[in-house]
Amino acid sequence: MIKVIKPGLQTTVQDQGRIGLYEIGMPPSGAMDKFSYTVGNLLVGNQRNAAALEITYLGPVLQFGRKLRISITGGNIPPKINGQPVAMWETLEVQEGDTLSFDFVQSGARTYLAVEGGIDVPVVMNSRSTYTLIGIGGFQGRALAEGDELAVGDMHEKKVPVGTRIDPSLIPVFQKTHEIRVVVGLCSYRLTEESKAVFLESEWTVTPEANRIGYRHKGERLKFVERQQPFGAGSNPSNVTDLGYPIGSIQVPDGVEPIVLLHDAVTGGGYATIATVISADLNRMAQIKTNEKVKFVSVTLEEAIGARRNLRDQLMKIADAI
Amino acid sequence: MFTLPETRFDFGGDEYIYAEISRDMSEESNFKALAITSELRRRQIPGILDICPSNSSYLIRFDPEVIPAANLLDYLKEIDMTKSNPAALNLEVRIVEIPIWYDDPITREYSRRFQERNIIKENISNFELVMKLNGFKEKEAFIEAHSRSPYLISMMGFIPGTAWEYPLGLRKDQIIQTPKYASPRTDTPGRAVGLGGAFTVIYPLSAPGSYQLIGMAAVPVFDQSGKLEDLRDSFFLARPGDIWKHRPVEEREYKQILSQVEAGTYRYRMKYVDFSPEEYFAKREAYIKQVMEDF
Repeated sequence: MIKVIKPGLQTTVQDQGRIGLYEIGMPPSGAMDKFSYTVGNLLVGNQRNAAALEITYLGPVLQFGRKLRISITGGNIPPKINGQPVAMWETLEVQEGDTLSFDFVQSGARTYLAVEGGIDVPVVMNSRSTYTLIGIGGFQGRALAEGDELAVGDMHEKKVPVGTRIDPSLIPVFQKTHEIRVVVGLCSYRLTEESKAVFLESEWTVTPEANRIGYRHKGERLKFVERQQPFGAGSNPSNVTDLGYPIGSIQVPDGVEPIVLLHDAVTGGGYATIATVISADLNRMAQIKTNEKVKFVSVTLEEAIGARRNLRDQLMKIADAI
Repeated sequence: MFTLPETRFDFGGDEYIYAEISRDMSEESNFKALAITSELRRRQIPGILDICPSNSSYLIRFDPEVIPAANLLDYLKEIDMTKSNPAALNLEVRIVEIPIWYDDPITREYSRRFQERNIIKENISNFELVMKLNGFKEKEAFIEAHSRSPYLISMMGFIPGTAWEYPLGLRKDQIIQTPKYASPRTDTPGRAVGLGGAFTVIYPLSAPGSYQLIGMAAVPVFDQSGKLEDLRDSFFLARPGDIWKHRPVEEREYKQILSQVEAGTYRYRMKYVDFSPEEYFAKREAYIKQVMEDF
């Protein structure tokens, strides 16, 4: 049992996500930074899909009801046990009555707390992930609140020795400026050539509207090719006939402030999508904070698949070492 | 018979393929998207994670480590070819009845509350506004026009369970159309019936929204309490490709149905039929009449 003394800014239960329900408008939810989440589970010997806590910006204060192995990965929100700093990216052990708290965020935006066995909440539509918009999954469909008591599950598959660490060269470093790789396409034909160039050459500033639904970016206005709007497309030049939005797809309503849609986003709608963040960089997108700078870098599909393979190889290396 | 332009395929990052059947909304494109996506589901291809039809396109999410992107693209192109023949678009569809209390006090109240966000700021309800914009003088005639034809669920999205309903058997100039709010409402009651463009939606739960509100459905389209037998397994009523039939009800019956829903005794009126887009395009309204017989 884990007792929530203070909830933090937004702490939610997440796993790999609720896959297969996109067609009814259900986004997958799930951990925003899957790399850190997965390493967290590996460090406590959990199955890949065990649920963890996703901590955003400001950490919670949690008290453990029994001896338990845990790990803390992701953005650097420095953790402390009973007030003493402890390492991230390492297998730790807490005793009954121990309190976990966090200092102010140093880098990144989201930190994962994995516990041996996983967080046990009911599986809703094949996932334990929290989707707060309609209040399903996770702990009662919402972010944690003071006084909540979390049960621990039995999704562990091996005992990992306390003090196990991962190769430091495999720990991601989160800066304040970010290069995010995208595959340009989908409805990019709607942008003028100049605006396509502006999109890729600008340094965008992340606005306060940056959360699990999506990240909005401030910068120059983008322009669309003039046309007679097709039937059903809506009147704004940024509108197209309603279509499905990939996770990571970028839309620019009215040409103002590109939005990258993330794991809790709407699944479809009537705005032209102009590019998609590659899957490997969605993890890094999750670690970006408001006011940080983003540059979108165009890559080919082959490069995107290569980046994905690299990430998978890194995770395999980590798994083998543990 | 009908012809469609060649489908345009593109990749959304390394996990998605987007297939654009046409750039405009058309029934032909939508039936093709529904037929292809239902065929894909039937084939249960390893590595395909999500199959998502939209108004005139569809989106596939896949795991490129299980099925290489290029192979999947070839595969989709092959299915696309077979589904370019109208005779190959047959679908099993589910017809569901939705009782609606039109021009009800709840949506009238929301019309008033969010008046300053609408396209005209006059003190009239959304119902009256849509009537006026579509040249209706009598409330009954409008209700008849909105409930006579069945509606095809052409796609879902917005918030989970929200279905875009598009009227079947009508010419474009017969379809009730309306602009959305100039600036979205911050709230909409769950079960409210909204109109935007040529589409009708029923809000699954309270949410922001910009469709003009013309009534309240007596039955939920989302329920996770488990009390309703028809929503116990899935929580959500709609599926792309369903056909919904609106049935106007008065206050008394609306309240009766609501209390049945509350008690968990309500059963949705449903019927399964084989739907042939080819026959539909050949006979239009006459075919719809035939499909909707004894429903």
